[in-house]
Amino acid sequence: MKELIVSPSPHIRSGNSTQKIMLDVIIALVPAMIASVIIFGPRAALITAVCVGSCVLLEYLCRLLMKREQTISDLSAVVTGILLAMNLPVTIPLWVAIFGCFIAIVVAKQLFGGIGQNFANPAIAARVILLASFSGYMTAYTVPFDHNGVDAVLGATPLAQLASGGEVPSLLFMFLGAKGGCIGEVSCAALLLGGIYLVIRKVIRPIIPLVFIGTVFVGSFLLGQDPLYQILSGGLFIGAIFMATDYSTSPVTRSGKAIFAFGCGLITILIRFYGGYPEGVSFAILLMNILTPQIDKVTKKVPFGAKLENPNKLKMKRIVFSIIGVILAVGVLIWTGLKLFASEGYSKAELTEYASAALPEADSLKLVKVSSDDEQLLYAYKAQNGAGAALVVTAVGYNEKEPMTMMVGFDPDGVIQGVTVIDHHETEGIGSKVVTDEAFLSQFVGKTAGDLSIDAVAGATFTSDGVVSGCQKAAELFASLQSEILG
Amino acid sequence: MSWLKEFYKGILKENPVLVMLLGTCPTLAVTTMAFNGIGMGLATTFVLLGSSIVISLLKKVIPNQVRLPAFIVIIAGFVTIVGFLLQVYLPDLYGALGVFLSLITVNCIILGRAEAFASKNSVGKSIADALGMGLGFTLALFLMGSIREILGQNTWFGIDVSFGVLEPIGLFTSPAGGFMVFGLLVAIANKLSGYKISKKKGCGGCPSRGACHGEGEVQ
Amino acid sequence: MRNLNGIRLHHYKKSKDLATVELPLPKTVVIPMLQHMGVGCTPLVQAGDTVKVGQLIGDSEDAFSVPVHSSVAGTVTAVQDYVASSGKTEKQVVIEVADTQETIDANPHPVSDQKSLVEAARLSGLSGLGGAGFPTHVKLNYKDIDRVDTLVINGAECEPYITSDYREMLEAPDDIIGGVKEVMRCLNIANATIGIEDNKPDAIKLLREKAGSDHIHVVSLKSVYPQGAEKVMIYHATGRVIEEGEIPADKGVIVLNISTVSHLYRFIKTGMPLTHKRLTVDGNYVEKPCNVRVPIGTSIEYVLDFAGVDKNRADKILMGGPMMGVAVYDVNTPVIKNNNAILVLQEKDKKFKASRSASTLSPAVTDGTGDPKDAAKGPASTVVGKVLAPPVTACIRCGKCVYVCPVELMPAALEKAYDKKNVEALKKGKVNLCINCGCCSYICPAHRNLAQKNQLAKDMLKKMKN
Repeated sequence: MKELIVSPSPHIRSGNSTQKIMLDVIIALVPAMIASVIIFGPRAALITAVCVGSCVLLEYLCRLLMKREQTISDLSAVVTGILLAMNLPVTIPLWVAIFGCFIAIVVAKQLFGGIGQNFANPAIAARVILLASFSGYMTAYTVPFDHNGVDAVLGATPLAQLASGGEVPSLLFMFLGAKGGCIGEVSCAALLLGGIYLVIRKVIRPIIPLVFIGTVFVGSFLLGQDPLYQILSGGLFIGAIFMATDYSTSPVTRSGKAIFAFGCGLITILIRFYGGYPEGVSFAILLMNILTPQIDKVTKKVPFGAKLENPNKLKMKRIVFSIIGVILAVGVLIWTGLKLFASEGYSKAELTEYASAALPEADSLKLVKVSSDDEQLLYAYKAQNGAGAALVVTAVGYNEKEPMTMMVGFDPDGVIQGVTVIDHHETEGIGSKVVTDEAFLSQFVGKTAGDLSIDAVAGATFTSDGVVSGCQKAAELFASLQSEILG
Repeated sequence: MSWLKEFYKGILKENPVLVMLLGTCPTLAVTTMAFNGIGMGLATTFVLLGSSIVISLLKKVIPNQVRLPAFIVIIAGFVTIVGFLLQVYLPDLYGALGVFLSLITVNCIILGRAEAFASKNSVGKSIADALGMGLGFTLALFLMGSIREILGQNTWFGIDVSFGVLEPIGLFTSPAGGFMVFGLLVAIANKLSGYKISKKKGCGGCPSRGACHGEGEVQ
Repeated sequence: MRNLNGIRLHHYKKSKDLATVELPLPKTVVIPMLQHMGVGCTPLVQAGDTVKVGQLIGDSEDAFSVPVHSSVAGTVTAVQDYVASSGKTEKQVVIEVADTQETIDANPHPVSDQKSLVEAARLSGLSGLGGAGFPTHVKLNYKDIDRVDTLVINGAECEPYITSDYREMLEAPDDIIGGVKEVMRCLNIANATIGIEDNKPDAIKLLREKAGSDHIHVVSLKSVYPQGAEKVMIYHATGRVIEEGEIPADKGVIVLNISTVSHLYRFIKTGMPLTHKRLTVDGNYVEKPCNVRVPIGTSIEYVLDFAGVDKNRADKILMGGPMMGVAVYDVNTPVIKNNNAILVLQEKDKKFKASRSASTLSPAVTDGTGDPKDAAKGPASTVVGKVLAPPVTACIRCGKCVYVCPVELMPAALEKAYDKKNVEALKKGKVNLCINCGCCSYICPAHRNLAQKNQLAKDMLKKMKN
C-alpha cells in the first residue's frame, strides 16, 4: 500500500493552466500571422520570429538576474512577442523591435513583478514608447502586397488618408486587410477569426471587444464619420480583441470590464477626431490600463447575503451609476435619432437667408428630389408660390481641393434671379472678397444660360471664374431638370 | 580621519540623489546632456560648500526659531554668486540650466545638509560632508546625463559617439525615459550600497531620515 | 431570482443504477465518540462489556452532542484515545464482532409536537447525513418555531460520483415522504419543498407521485455544483437569502438532508437508532463501483476490499466527494455517521507522478502546526504523506474565481489579503461567508489553493476575536 496523499479539498481540478490559456491565444493569433505574411511578405515572419525569440530570451535572463524562478514555460513571453510584432510596420529595423521587446518584457512586466503584476499591457506599453522614440520608423507603413520588405513602397494608413482627405480602400479590402498599416492590425478578418476562437474557448469574455468596438462605431456615427470605416481601420480590432482583454490590466468584474471598454472607445474617438494622432487605440488602452485599479475598487462585487457596514453607500453608488447610465443612453438615443431623421438640406433659417439673396420673390423653399446624379448638384429647391426654383451647386474656384457651394435662383423661365455663395474656402482677402462683393454678384441677375458674360473682379480671376462656372452649371441643370423641379 | 568618513558617505552609502532621493527635480530636468549635468552638480557643490561653511561658522549665532529663513538667506546669497559667475563665464551653461539654477536655493540637499549637519558640526566636518555630498550629487547627475545623452542623442559632451552604427532613441531625452534611467540607477545604487528596504512604517522607514528632523518618530 | 454562480462538473454517477448491497460483517468495528460537529460523547461501556446492535454506548450532557450507538453486536475490547480531525483528543470504542447478531428491543417512538420530535431526533443519534454533520435535534429545537413556514429537503447530491441519497430516494421513497409529513405535523410547518437536481429525473418523478399532497412540492434544480450547499439550495428553492450571521430558521426555513429525514421516520416507526450507512464506493480507476450498506465503525479498508477495489493504485482515499471530502491518511480509518462515499483517486498525469518522488512539498498549503519534525521541513506539512498538487504559479488576475463563486466573493483578492495578513481587507471581503465549496480552487488556471486560504483566513479571524 503506497503512502497516501493528504491535501485540502477540492481534490479535483479543472485542468486549466496558464500555459493552456497562452497556447490558446497563440493559436488565435495564427490567422493574423499568416495574413501578415500574405500581405507584407516574408519579412513579417522574420519580425515575428525575432520578437518572440528576444522576448523569451529577455525574460529568461531577467528572471535569472533577479534570482527568481523561471516563467518562460507559461508562454506569456511568446504571446507578448507575437503581439508586439503584430504592432510594428514591416519596414521596422530589427534592433528597434528588440528594443521594444526590452521595454515590454523587462520594464513593463518583470520590473513590476512578472505575470499578473504588470501595470499596463506590455505590448501596448512597448508600442507607445516606440512611437514616442522612433516616430519615423513606426510610421513607415508600406502599401499592401508589396513583398519587398524594407524596400517596399511606402504608403499611408486609411486613417491617415481619411484625415488628409485622400482616397480610402473599399470596405471589403479594409476588412480583409489589403491596406497599409502594422503587420498584424490590417487584417480584421483574421483577427475576428482569432477572437471568435478565444470566445469559444472561454479565454476571453466578449464584453470588452464588443463594448470597445461598439463605442467606436456609435461614436463615429454620432460625430459624422463613417462608422464602418472607423472600426475597420487602425489598430482597433487587434487592440480590442487581444490587448484590451489582457487579464492583469483589465478589471475583473463584468461591470468593470464594460466601463473599461467604454472608456477605451471614448478616448480612441477623441484622439482620432480631435487629437493630433490619426490613431488613438494604443493610448486609449494604455490610459485605461492605468485606471483599472480604480475601476476595480468601484466595481467590487457584493457578497451574497452580506450585511454591509454602510448599506446606504451601496445604494447611493447604484443610484449614481444608474443615473449616469440613463443619461448616457438617452443622450445617445436622441442624438442618433436626430442624425438618422435629420432632414436633408438646410434648415429653415438658413434657407430663408439664402433665398432672400438668390430668389427674393419666393416665400418658402421646398426640397425636391431629382433624378440627376451630377456630382456638382447638391440640392434642388422649388419655390412654393411658383416664383421659380433655386439650385445649390458646387464650383471650383481658386482652391482646387475645396470647392465653393453656391445657390442660384431662377424664375420659371430660366432667368437668374440672384446668386449667393453659401460656403467657400477661397484665399482670405482675395477670393473671399469676391464672394461677398455685391456689385459682382448682382451682375448675374437677369442673365440666362446663354449669355453669362461677366466682369471678373480684378486680382481674383479664379474665384470669379468659379462663380461663373457655377452659375453656368446651375443654369444647364435647371434647363434639363426644369420640368422635374417645377412640374 | 573622521573627516574622510564624512566625505565618503556622500558618494555612495548616503548619496543624496540615488539613496536619499533628495533633489530629484533638477536631476530629472537638466540631465538631458552630460555637460549640463556636471555643470549643475558643480554649481550645487559650490553653493553647498559655501553655505555649509558659513552656517557652520554661524551656528551658535543663529537663533533656533529663525534658523530656516536664515539658512535660506545664506544659501540664496551663494546661489546668486554662482548665477552671476555662470552668466559671465559660462553663458551657454547658464542658458541651459535656466530656472533650475535659481531653484538650487530650495534644493532639498542643501537645506537638508544645512539642517542636519552643518548647523550641528564643526567647520572642518561640514566641509568634508559638503564636498562628499556635492561630489555624490555631481557623480549621479553625470551618470544620468551621460546615459541619457548617449542613448538619446548619440553624443557625449557634444562629441558624436554613434560610430555610424547607433541611432538616437527619443525615449531617453523625454521625461519618461529620464524616470526610467533614474529608477534603474537607484536600483543599482541600492544594490551596491547594501541598502535594505525598511519594513518600518512612518519616519523610521524613510531613506532621508538622517537629513530630516520632522515631527515623526525615528525608530 | 437569478441563478447563483457555480461549476458544471462531470457527474460520473456510474453507480446510480446499482442497488444497495449489504456488507458482510467485519471482524472489528471502531466507533468514535465524536462523529459530527459539536462536543464528543463519553463512553458508557468499558472493555469486556457485551453490546447489542443499536445499544447506546456513548452519551453526553452537553446540548451540542449526539448520542452514539453500537452498530454491531459483540464484545468491547478497548476504549482508546485518538486524535480527531479537529486536533482534539477524543475517545473511540473498539468492538469485536460476535458471530450471532443480537438487536436491542426497539419500540416505536411516536411524536406529536416539537418537544417529542426533538427528543426522538436526539435518541436516534442523528446528525446531518448529507455530510455536514450538524446535530439534527439542535436544528429542530429552534426557539421561535412559529416563524418557520417552509421545510426544505436537500436532495441535491451535487458532488460527482456519489449516489447514496439518490438510492435512498429510489429505494425508500415512502420513508422520505413519511418523515417529511411527521416533521411538518410536529413543527406546524405549512409547506415542504424537496429540491432535487435535474440529473435525477426518475427520482423526481417517483417522489412527486408519492408526495400525494399539495403541501409537498418537489422542485427540479439545475445540476450546477454546489447546488446542495445550504444557502444556495434555500435561495434556489424558496428565493430567500440567508444573510450574514443568520441561520436558515431566522428566515423561516429549516433544511434537512433527504437521508436524515428518512432515517428519522424509520426511528419513529421502529425505534432503531442510526447504526448503518449507505456508502457509494467509486473512483477514477474503479471499474465496478457499488452502493453498500455499512455498519458504522467499519474500516475503509474492509469496505474497499469487499467492493473489490485495488487499494494499491490509490494515490488519495477520500471520505466524501471530490470537491469537499476529506483525504484520509490511514486506510483503517472507520466509517462514521456523516460519510456518504468512499472514493479512491489515482493521479493520472505522469508529470505530477514524477514530482511526487522528488519530495517537493507544495508551498504554503497549510500554515504548519503539529509535529515539530515536520515543521522543520517547511510550512507545508501537518500530516503524513506528501502533498501532490499541480505546482502553484503566479495569479494572472483572470477573474475566473470571481465568476465562479456562488456567494459572490472575490477569492483572488482574499488570498492576497491573507498573504499580507490584511485583516481589514479580509473582513471587508466577507471571507466569513465562504462556504468552502472549492469552486475557486477548481477553476484556477494557476492552481492556487484559494479555498484553503479562505479557511485559513477564517481561522485567523476567529482566533483574533478571542
